[in-house]
Amino acid sequence: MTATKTELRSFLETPLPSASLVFFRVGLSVLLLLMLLRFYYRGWLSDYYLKPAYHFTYLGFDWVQPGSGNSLYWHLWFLVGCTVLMGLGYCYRWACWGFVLGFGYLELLDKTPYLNHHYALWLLVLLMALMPLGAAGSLSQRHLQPLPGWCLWTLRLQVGLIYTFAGIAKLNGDWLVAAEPLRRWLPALSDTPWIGSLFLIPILPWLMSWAGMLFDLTIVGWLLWPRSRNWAFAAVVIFHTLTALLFPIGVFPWLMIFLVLLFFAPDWPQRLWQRVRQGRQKLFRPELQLAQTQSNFSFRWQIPVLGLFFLIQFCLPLRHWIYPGNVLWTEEGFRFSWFVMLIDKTGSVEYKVQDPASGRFWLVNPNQELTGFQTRMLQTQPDLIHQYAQHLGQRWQAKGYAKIEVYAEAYASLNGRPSQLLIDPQANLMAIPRSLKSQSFLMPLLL
Amino acid sequence: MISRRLISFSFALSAFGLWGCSQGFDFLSRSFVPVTQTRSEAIQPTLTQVIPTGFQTFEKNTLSLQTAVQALLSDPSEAKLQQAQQAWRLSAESWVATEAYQFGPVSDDRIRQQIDFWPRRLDHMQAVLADSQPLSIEQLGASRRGLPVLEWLLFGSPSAEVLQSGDQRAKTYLRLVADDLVLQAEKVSAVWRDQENSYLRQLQTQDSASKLLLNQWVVLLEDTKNKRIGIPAGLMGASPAPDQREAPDSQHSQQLLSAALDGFEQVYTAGSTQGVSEYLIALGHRQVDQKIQMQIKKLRQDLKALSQPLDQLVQDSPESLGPLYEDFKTLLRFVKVDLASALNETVNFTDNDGD
Repeated sequence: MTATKTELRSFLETPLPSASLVFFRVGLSVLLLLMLLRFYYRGWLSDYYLKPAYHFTYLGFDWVQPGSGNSLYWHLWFLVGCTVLMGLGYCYRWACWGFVLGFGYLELLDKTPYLNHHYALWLLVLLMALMPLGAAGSLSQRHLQPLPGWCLWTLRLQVGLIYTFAGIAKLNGDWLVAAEPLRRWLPALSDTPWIGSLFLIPILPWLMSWAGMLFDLTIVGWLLWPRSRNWAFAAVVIFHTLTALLFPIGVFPWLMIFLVLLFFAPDWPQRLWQRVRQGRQKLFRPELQLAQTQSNFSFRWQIPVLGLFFLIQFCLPLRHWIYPGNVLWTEEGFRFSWFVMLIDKTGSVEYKVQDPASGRFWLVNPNQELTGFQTRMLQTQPDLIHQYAQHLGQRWQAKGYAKIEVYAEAYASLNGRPSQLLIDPQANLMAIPRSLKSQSFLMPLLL
Repeated sequence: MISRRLISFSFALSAFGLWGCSQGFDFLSRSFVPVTQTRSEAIQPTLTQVIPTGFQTFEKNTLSLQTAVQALLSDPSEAKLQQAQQAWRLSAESWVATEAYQFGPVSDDRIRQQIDFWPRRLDHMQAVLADSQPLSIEQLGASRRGLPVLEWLLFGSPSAEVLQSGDQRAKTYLRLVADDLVLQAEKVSAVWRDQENSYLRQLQTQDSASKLLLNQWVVLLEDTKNKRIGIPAGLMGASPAPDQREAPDSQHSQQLLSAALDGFEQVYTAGSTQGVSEYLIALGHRQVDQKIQMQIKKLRQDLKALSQPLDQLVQDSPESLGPLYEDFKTLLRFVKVDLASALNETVNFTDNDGD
């Protein structure tokens, strides 16, 4: 046992060429930069955080609120600064932690814009903050000195978890038997130039569903096996490029193509560069790294930290099993679990605020206060419906109605099913506290 | 060795898949018909036939209304007033029938408000008559022109003034607003009449027409449920507000409500030959189509079964409109949730990434 432990430790501490990690650090910074600038130019900072009069904060984080005036724009430029410094490798750790805290703050402000790839990016930068990636190919250290193997393997493990859990999430009847939601998504793309008519092929949704599931579940294995790696990478490029062209999923496909490069040999950028330049010029004096056999970096405090990190990463995507019912319907344990492109929901919500003392009631349409985007998210997500009911109750309490009751008439359709009640219309949502426990007001999925 | 592992893996995967499949999928009984039409092809008859015809009918009716108003003003009589009133009813019904597709320039350029500012602002209209400044249509805002003003002038208290001989201000107001209505109707109709215009071409090529239609139907049904029934009858919590019904002077609210429903059905079925209804069936969502069509029928029955005209019921027994309100709510749900899901369209236009 001790021998295995020693071998594992030795394996993880073995220095590896750092070119791949340097490429990762710079590339991820560029992607983050593009994402932040896109966020700015599309006006999403204003749409998601400044325009809304009410924010759907995470449980326990109600105290996280947007600053006044232009402070959020300054915050965005702070994140841009962190990203640039990360890429340059200057004040690297400070920049990483600055980004982790800053981007985390932005995400905690409101959960309606939650996206899996935002979460993935945040996790990757958090891992980067634990690694000495600024110690090679950077402004402060131009030499490509080797970096310990655990850096590369940690990132590979994280990427592997994303694919694997995304694949496991696809092992359900909606995806495999009903080919939903692709069965409704694809015909809607029939007007796509050149290839539109292909989306009318009846069997295509099933083929794509099964291929997607097999791809997610097995791609890490194919990437780790040197003999299949090139083909697997080609499959990754084709798969994600197709999803980028067909579905509005932002930088996610490009991020995954980029991350998969971590599975190539750690010196692949040098080899590629040398091949391109035919060996006449070498990048960052690579001869130095080849002479190095021992890492300059210790691997002590990272062991428990990374252990805890991956324990959480293994448990979070599985936590939905604790809750009763179909997670795609109840969405209890849905976020942070790599449920990617699995559900298509539409919904409708109307609130009834009632004063039991006088019998008076008020029907409230959420779009009277919420933005269009927030309303769309609220209509299908039970925890948001509950949270907003409590907010409405508090508003009426502030008007002097001490014992106010709030009910929601919420209908939703999941993956093409007929619309059905999502929330028990008899449940007084004001009387049910927000918590991580399974909520009694959820109606079971009937079909 | 590798093949044995591969077989084991395949078995495990199949078991997982079968287990997942065992979660019950009655909705798989959804009819399976190969789709042969693209979305833009399916929506084409609606864009090129149904919508232009609807706006042309409205334009034609406003011209008739203008003629009737001119006849009334040149030689006022009770008979000519009734003719003008009838022309107004036809114009208003044909306008309301277009509500199911009042998107694009008619909405973006605020022409809709110029034609039918609703709920009307009676105080604004009265102020125009009470004013002593010379009347000019350019000086009048949306709440001081359009169909509600014509209704008030033809059916309300100023109609007596219109019938009098002489050069009354109400007559000038009536003429100006009737002429302006024709101009607005021509503008709307022109957008859809010219099949080569940029807006229509853009709609046909950008696959946005079905989303626009769906969102407009949601607006129409929400407005009908809330403004035409819920608010006047006090079914939404507040006290009944009969003054806020759609056509209080002409007592024509029920016919306008029916016209709105007719307009929705007309564009949904695209004249019963093609359109969204047929496309839904082709996509395998016959059940959704049936639900919508059955609900439209139910609403017609509700309207027929009303013991008194809607305008009367709103004042005398507003609570009796509860079933009609609930049935509109159900139709709204079928459109907003089931139809949106079947068409894979989003209600509310939002610009954001997914997943």
